[in-house]
Amino acid sequence: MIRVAGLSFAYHSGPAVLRDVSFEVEVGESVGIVGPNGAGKTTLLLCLAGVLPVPPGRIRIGHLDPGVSGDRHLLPEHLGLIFQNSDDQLIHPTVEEDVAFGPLNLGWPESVVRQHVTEAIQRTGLHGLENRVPWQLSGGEKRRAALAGVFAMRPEVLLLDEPSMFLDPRARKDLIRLLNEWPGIKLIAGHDLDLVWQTCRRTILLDAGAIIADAPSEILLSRADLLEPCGLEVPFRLRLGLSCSRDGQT
Amino acid sequence: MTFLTDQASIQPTWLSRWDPRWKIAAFGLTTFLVTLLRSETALAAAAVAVIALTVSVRPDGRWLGRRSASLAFFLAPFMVYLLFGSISSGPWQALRLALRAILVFQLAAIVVASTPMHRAARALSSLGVPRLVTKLLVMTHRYTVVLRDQWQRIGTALHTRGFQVRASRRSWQTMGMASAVLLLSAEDRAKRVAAAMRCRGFDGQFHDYHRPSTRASDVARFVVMVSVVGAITAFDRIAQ
Repeated sequence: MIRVAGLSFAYHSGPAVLRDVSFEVEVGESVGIVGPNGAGKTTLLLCLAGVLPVPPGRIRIGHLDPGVSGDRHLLPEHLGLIFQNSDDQLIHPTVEEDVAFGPLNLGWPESVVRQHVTEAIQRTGLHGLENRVPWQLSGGEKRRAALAGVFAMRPEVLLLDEPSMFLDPRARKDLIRLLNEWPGIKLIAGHDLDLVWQTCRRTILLDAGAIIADAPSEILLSRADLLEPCGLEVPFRLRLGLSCSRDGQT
Repeated sequence: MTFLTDQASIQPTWLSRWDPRWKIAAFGLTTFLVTLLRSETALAAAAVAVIALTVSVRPDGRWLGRRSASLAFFLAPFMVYLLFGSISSGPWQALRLALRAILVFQLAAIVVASTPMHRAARALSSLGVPRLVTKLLVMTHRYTVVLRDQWQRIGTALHTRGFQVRASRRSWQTMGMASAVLLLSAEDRAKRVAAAMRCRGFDGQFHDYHRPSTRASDVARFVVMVSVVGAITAFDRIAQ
């Protein structure tokens, strides 16, 4: 589980980007983190992933504390982060080698690495693209390759920052399916409220670094009075009053 | 903007199937031996061998043409100096210099045109080049492409807003600002890439996923190539 208690963060000596943020996420739960630009969504994910320095005792990821140096090195085994721009994440010259990068870093035996890489490639539908150069893939394929690289590490927690950015409708639909099939904890940050509604049971609304609301997605995402002051809109599907299931089927 | 290391699609030939470790070792030795050649005859014999190799690798004509043009541009001042300067043996020196430069360039182009960059880097690592250097090479190659795309996008954005490169202070200022934007975004991207690598457990050590294997034909090709160029070099030395 994830526990965040009274987390505040500021870059260098700038203004606070996160202000006294507290929430908990249970095992298997999917949570959307929504808010306008500059709300602190990406910063929150980077703090959770141990990329940004946080004081000890503010965050717990299972039994690990990203504020403690020793725990921070163990985080990649338990937590995977998908960045906004897949080009930041795909560094190897072939898709297969990129997917293997994380598992090899964890020091797993070669046979286990190969098995996990094969499974991650199949799960994300990248079969046949193993030897392709990642930077020559389409936006959707790059996103799937980035996901495969994290899936291969079998993390219990998946953090996604604006996962539908640069995706066409088909690639977005594939992404939603992949996310709904993933059994672990998911934290999905972004402005794509339709995607959040289709993948997350619960949503946290963040504005100016503070939590404005934390409620089931059906309730929070239909509250125009909460969303509109933050520059967000009720998802299209909810506005139309369609009776859609979460996988997007009417 | 073109770089020697930009790769066109690699044709499946005996050169592309050659174990990169043996191929790079053979081409490295060959390049060294070529630089030792003195006579025009020996250089011409080596040129024939290298042209045969180039034909067999079936490189993309445009790819090779662009890079050859860059080489010609680089060589031009030396040629002008040697041909039209006051040196008596200038034309022969110019010929030898041009032949040597073309041979070295062509040998490098053959390796680039027949070996994916990541395999070449892995081979260099196996041949004793520090892994940090080879990984930096691969990542530089990878992000050069990203930064070039970004530079092209900045250029397009400038042109769509009516900007044209002129010999004016304002034009150079704009180009300077655009370059600064590119450098700043490169630094920003480098930070994000480093963070993404750390998130996937990177601790400074790169681990290999594929292990290369050597066949008898790889060694045989190495022996034949080095022997042929070695024989030309020996002939050149004895004839002198």
